[in-house]
Amino acid sequence: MTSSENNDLRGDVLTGGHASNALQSDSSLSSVYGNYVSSAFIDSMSSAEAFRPVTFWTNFKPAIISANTNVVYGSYGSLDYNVAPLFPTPHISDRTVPFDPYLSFDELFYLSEPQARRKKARTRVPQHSPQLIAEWEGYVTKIETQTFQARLRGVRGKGVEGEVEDAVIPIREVGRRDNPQFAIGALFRLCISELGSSDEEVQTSTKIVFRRLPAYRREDLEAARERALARAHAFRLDYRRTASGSE
Amino acid sequence: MGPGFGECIVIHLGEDEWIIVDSCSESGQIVPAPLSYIRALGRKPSTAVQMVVATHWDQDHVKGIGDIIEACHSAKFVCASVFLKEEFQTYIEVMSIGTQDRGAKDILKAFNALHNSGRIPMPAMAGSILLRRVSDLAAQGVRAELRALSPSDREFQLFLQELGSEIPAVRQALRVAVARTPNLASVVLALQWEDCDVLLGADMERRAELDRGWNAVVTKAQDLGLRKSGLVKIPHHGSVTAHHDGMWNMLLVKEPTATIVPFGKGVGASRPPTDRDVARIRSKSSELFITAPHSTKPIPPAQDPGVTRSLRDGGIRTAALSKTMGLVRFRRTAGNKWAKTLLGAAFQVP
Repeated sequence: MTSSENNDLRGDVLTGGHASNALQSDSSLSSVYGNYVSSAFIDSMSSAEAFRPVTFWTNFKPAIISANTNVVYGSYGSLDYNVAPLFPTPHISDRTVPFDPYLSFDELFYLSEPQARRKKARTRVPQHSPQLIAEWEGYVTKIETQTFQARLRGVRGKGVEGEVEDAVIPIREVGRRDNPQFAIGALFRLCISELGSSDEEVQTSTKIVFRRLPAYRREDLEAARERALARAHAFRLDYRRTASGSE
Repeated sequence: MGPGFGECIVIHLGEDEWIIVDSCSESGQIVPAPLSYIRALGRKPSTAVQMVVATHWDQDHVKGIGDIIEACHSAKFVCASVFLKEEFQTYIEVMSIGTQDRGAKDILKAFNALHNSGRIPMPAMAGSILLRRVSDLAAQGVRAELRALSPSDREFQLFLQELGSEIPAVRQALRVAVARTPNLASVVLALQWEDCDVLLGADMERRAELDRGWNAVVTKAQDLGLRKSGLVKIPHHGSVTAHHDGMWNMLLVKEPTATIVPFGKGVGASRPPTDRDVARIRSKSSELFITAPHSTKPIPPAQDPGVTRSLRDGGIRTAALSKTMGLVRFRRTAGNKWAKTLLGAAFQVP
């Protein structure tokens, strides 16, 4: 996978409560990506008797924060849109309940299941969904030491769709997961996506995915052989006739 | 004519008898170029075409060949004898399962069209006479004759061996058929009229072994006592891998008229002819024609700059297939020299 994807993921992170302390202290938090949580949640949490608010930081625009809010037990509040698809374990994000401001934090916390309290649970929400700007379908024609050659047919994209191109692609682009499929004749998709970011900087990402095609079935191969034999047998007559050199 | 996508040759034997050698298509056109050409001359392919020859199974030589077979009802189909064997027929059947690639499907379509209409293809082997037209006046003898000079018996066996390992087995994933080394199994043709000869080099390449490649072709031509040709279609797009001194010295007259059909695809070094190839061939010929301007540099596709940048960042190089197409036409009447006409993008090398 080649990517100009920026690893400096400028997440707008907001935490509250004990559970969030753990998240705050997590050094990997800097890699959290996206935005979430609402000010409504924080306000409510602050009013809870047993709840001691902790530091949080955000550079959210208030207009976004005021969206429909739910609480995810054991982690932090989240906007209920745009979260589930990228949540590491989707069932956790599904476990949202209407927030009860009179519930103590301990009640709130211990009602949740252990899995939901894991400190690894974090939300990754891109600010903009990746947009596919070019896509090819191709197949491998030749494999060399560092590169492989391929024939590409443009599927979508400006100046790409319908075009047939030859390509030389570094083998390092083939993901480890695709190694079993990587062979001469193997079909793949080459996709280029555009990723927006909060500062309007446009990043692109290139990805090659080898297609998991169905396998040849015994009955298909046998049927193909039968057809081939029938044709070869029919053609054999002329083979004998012209082998002598006569027309 | 070529490259567009591939190359092909249309031959008028005389008396409204035509031969099509290989098939190609102009970019964006569905109808194969030889059919368009014959129709443009006001002839009916269904009756005028006497023979269709597929020199070898490679996409730039057989694209649309199935359509030609279907359109030319009265034509005999000629291909390398090895392609009529059970192994090859099985291979194209199996490789046509599932995938949408047209490589195997084009040639399968051709064979099915022949089989369904009860027509039997004619195998080409080194030395076999594919067509002979005798003059009405017995004294004048043979009017025209088309001979195959390849593939050799050894190439026949090697191709079958290689093919055996290529046929997929049960539980292997579907894949596209990719021709590995079909060039050495291609059919080199010698066309003889009463007073002139033409050599059509297909994509035959040079090999060190005496019974393979151009070595085998030259030996066979000498065994047959063929006359030297004054007009040649340069083999394998002028690539240096197809250069053979024996071909120039034994099969061609000194400084013949030559034509190159460039390879209209590929990235980097795989786009013959190079400038050195052109210079080499020009030095050995009295006149050299090329069917379309050619650059060894890949043709940059007209993509969005963001797409181009992303590909470049990933080290991926792409090249569009050539869209230009040209035609070099040679015509002559008995006793006269060739008259040349350049159409489309074709040009003469000074």
